[in-house]
Amino acid sequence: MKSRPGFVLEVDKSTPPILVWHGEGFKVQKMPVDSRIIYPKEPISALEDPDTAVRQALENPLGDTKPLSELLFPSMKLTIAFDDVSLPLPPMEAPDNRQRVIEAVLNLAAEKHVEDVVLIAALALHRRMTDAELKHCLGERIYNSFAPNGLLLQHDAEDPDNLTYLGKTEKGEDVEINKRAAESDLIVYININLVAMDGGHKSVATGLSSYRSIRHHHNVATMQHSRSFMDQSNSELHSSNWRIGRFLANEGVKVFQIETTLNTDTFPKQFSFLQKREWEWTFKDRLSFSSVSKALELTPGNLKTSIFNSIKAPHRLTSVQAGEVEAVHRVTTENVYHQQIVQVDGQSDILSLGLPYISPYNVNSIMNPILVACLGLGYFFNLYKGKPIVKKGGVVIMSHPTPLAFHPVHHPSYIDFFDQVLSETTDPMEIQTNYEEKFATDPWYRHLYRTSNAYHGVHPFYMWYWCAHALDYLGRVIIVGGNHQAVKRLGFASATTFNDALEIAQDVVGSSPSITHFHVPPIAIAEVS
Amino acid sequence: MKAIQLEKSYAKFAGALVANKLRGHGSSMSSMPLRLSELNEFRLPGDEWTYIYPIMSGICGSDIKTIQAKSSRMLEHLVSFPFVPGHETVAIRADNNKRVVVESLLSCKALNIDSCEFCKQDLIDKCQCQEFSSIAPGLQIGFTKDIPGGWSEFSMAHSDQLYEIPDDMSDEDAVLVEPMACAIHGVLKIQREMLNTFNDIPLVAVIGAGTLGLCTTAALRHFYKDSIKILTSTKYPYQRKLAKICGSDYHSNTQNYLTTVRHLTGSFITGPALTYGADVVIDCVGSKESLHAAITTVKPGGQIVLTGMPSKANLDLSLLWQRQITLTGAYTYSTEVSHLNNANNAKTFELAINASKEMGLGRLVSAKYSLDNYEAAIEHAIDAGKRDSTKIVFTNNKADLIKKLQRRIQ
Amino acid sequence: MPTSKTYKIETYESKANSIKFAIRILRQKFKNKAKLSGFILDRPTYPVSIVQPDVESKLGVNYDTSWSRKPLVRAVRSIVRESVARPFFAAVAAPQVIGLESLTLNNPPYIFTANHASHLDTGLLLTTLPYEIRRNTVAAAAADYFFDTRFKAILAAGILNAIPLERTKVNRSSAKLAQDLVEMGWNLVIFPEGGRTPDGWGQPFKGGAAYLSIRTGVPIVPVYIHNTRALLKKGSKKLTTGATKVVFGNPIYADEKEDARKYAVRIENEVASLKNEIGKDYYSSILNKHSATTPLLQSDIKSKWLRSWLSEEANSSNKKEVLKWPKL
Repeated sequence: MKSRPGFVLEVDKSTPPILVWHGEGFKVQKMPVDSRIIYPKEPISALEDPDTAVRQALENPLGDTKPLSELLFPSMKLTIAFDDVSLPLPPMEAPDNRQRVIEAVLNLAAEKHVEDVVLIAALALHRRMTDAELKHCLGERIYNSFAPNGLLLQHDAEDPDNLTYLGKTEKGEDVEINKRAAESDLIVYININLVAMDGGHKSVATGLSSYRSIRHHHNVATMQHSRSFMDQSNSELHSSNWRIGRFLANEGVKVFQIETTLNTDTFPKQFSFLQKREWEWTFKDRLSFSSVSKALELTPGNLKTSIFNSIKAPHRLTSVQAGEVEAVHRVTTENVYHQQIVQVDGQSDILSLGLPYISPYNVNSIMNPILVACLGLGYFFNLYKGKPIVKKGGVVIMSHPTPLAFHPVHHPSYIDFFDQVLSETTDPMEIQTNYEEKFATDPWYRHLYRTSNAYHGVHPFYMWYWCAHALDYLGRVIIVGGNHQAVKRLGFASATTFNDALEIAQDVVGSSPSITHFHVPPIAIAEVS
Repeated sequence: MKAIQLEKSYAKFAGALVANKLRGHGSSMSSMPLRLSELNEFRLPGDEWTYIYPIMSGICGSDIKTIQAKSSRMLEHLVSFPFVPGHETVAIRADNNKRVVVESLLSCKALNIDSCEFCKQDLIDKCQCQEFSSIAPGLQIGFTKDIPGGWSEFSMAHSDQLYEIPDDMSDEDAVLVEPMACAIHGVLKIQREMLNTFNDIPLVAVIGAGTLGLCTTAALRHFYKDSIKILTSTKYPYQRKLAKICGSDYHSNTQNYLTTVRHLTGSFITGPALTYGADVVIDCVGSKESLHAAITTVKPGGQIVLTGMPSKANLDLSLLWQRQITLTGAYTYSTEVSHLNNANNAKTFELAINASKEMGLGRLVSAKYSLDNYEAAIEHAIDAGKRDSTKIVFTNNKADLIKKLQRRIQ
Repeated sequence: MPTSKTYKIETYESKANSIKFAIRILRQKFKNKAKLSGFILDRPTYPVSIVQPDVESKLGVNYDTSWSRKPLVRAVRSIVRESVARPFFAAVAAPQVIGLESLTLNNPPYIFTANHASHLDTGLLLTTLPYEIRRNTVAAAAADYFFDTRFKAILAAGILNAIPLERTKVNRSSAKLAQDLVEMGWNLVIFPEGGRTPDGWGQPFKGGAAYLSIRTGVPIVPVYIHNTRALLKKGSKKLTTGATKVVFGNPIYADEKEDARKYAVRIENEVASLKNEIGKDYYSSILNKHSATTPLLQSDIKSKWLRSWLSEEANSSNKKEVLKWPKL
């Protein structure tokens, strides 16, 4: 399959209405003439023999490190850490990259007869994964060999007995990571690098650390100075993680990093129209679009959520890199950019987004208003390199129903954050100063995080901090078709239709604004000149 | 003279009840047992009694409950029909033209009988003698057929029941003295040891943000200054602002009340209740739901003060028993004996006059109606919350009153 | 808006408990209404002054299974086995039966000794035997597990034709019963490991079956049951479907002067050899057997993950077809 590059379309009178995501559903919408639409690159072709590629990567590592098989010895402590349920999006069809790579690593370990092996899901402050989720991402064989023996762990950032404090970086950042990982002879970390933000030193420095450590880079000041998260050289978030990562290396924590990239084949065949360019929609595409949207209209909310949660993406492995963290990550980032970069010429006044049903934090869950804000302003707004797509003081128009709904098990602290914090203020700095600590240390959230499947008490704050750069930068945020009460609480403007939103935006950007619609997902990164 | 009379018409009570059931909160005037009548002046019941001319009289939640036939029948023996309601009254004394507020409670002295053991100690709120006097039974002025309440152009009171108010105090501030007195009475029922807390600062939760809830919030802030944190649970969004004005630190609405208390106290949730909770909960609503909320959110061994007027409620008390909660009723006002120094042996009304003036509670008066417009007034009071209002009052024209007074003196 | 109630995560277990609870309440209600309680209907109570004699347990090893071998019960069991159990196991476990022809070498009775990985094993073995043999077979079942309550004992004896066998200590009466039955011509199914495997690897064979064979002169038929652990393993409550194999070996006898312990080891090796036959051909398994290079049922690997990772189950593919998004 030859993949055509992404491009920017200038809308003219002949441009058909384009597909816009709207939470658990989508619509077609006519864009104003002279506005621009950024189309992502089509999925690049996958590796033909992924298993061999994985084996080769393990034997030919990048950077200053020996092949994995030479790093293994029978009496060693080996810890295999892997990304949690927040990657990839949507969850991929089995076999997951993690299963493929970890099986290869375990086969090597079994050959060397390594007796002490532990698997750790690198949760950071995310919710614990369910057994079904673990089984899906690791496969039955790994799950059955480790879970019943208590060797499949989920990192617990609130377990003082299982954390090791290693000291401070030169900038005073506390470094505290999982004790087992710190005491291992080797940590093998398996990444899925869905976007350029993932991986690198962030894997261990964030994934296996505690609130005490994470708060040094997950805060308003850092987020506001990350322009953007997708561009490491300009991301304060990454600088901090790199410092911590190098500190760990100096302390003798040995990491063998394995990073994998995926193509952007995001939706199953039945939904292929979701990643096709509208003027190429065949009769079959049009038929499935209208029947699917009609069916979704008639489906009650809960069922709709579970239908969408059951979608597994046909992502395919496009590259695998193993070895020393920084060398690996350099190549990986290039590979991610190779799939995702789209050249965009100049900024515009208005950025229009259609937000889908999924974000990293509501896999198998409910997308609550805070996550809507985070997906739009934290993730999609930041999918840029160079300059933001929208001008400073510009407007972002996002399309999402923003229901006033929360998953009570996964997001308990979000409910209280929405009720008790956002009702008082939406200013990230004020929120950080006045409320963060109380939530971060609340024993009930800690209990739910450690024993149930709840995100950490401080997690909603981080979601809001993700938005800090955008909130600081933008003149106005408008949500189309959202629940008014929820949108108002978020501090955004609410519009019924896209055209109403444009009217509202004109107060800020004048009467003839330039408009850019970012046609994601599938994911793309706009390199704006 | 004009007065609004509440008569005991079973047909109308039944009508009110049915209308109530059918339409939820609102009730149509046609089915209300109220009418505007022209009454002759009543004879004074005793030597120490005097005529008063109401300037302003509030519509209380208990009045509404009575009109809607929602109040408990357990108290029916202490009410005599037909009566003129109104027990939150600012008036002018007929004998000396002074502005006064009326302590409407009827105790032995006002009833012209020998003082009972409670009244001897000035604990008039505990007096149970209303049935045993020549005056027809009534809990307070405004519940007996022999003494018209404040919803009229004239009323009467025992001279001990009248408290002069300073000239610089507005009528609005004054009309809230009675509810404020009830709130203060409730607040001063908090036992000292209840505030020994595991929290950094004791947390007192107030359920309800109607007149009583807001007055309670204000009273807490007035007496406890910054030594406690106050959470006010509101039903309607506009009440949030008022609660803040009255001095609350935290706010919640009915839905997230429990989770808010949980978060503020760092508790866990166990079954329907919290492992810890607010040190004291003051229930200013008195419904089944509010009592349940109070029981589940007060700390084990904590205290619930019930200030709102309750009626029959089907309530599971197993948690009250298991959590060893003290449930304290707080009715009206009296002489205060409290662990707070500045309250010892003071009359609640005197404390309330000071507090109301100091905190400017007159701001809670949302609308004023003349007696002629009583239908609109009652409807407004019934839907107060939905119409972003708190206290609805009846007013009489002051100029008319003074004319009347002068005529009388002549 | 979610309330506090929704914080409760409902588990399968609590649901089951609430059903039990509801049944109990209903029963109580019903009992009270129908006045079905009290003396005459209920057992009388002892006066306090009279010492109540201890009741000897009639469960466990002492459970009397003779009723289950009465002709009428056998007939009913036969119907259930042929019309329900066999189709059920065929559907769930799709057993491929190998080596049954070896049973024609001798005359019954036989003592079948098999590896044990799943609750399905007994039923699977009993339903795959030839008709003439399976109608005349009893199964030795753990007295402490299958005969600890009256309900389970009735089910075990009635449906499986099980007899209680003490697995932790030698119990004369239970061994005697098995011996008597074998001598009367009953075939016996026994799992010498004494319990299901916790991790897929075999456990040492106990000497009970060997002892019985020596005492009665009845031959032992080694059996290897493949892949039942994948369908229903120890500790799992979920039954999945898949393909299994049941491999029968040739009947063997104890050598002269061979004691039960040595004989048991030999039986274990025979079963291991049958296991080796799967995935390989018969000939190379025999070669292994004679050069004593047959992979053992047991493993001496200490590391827990390696034991699981290298176990037979981990390497066999039992992938289920995942329900895919409907084609549009």
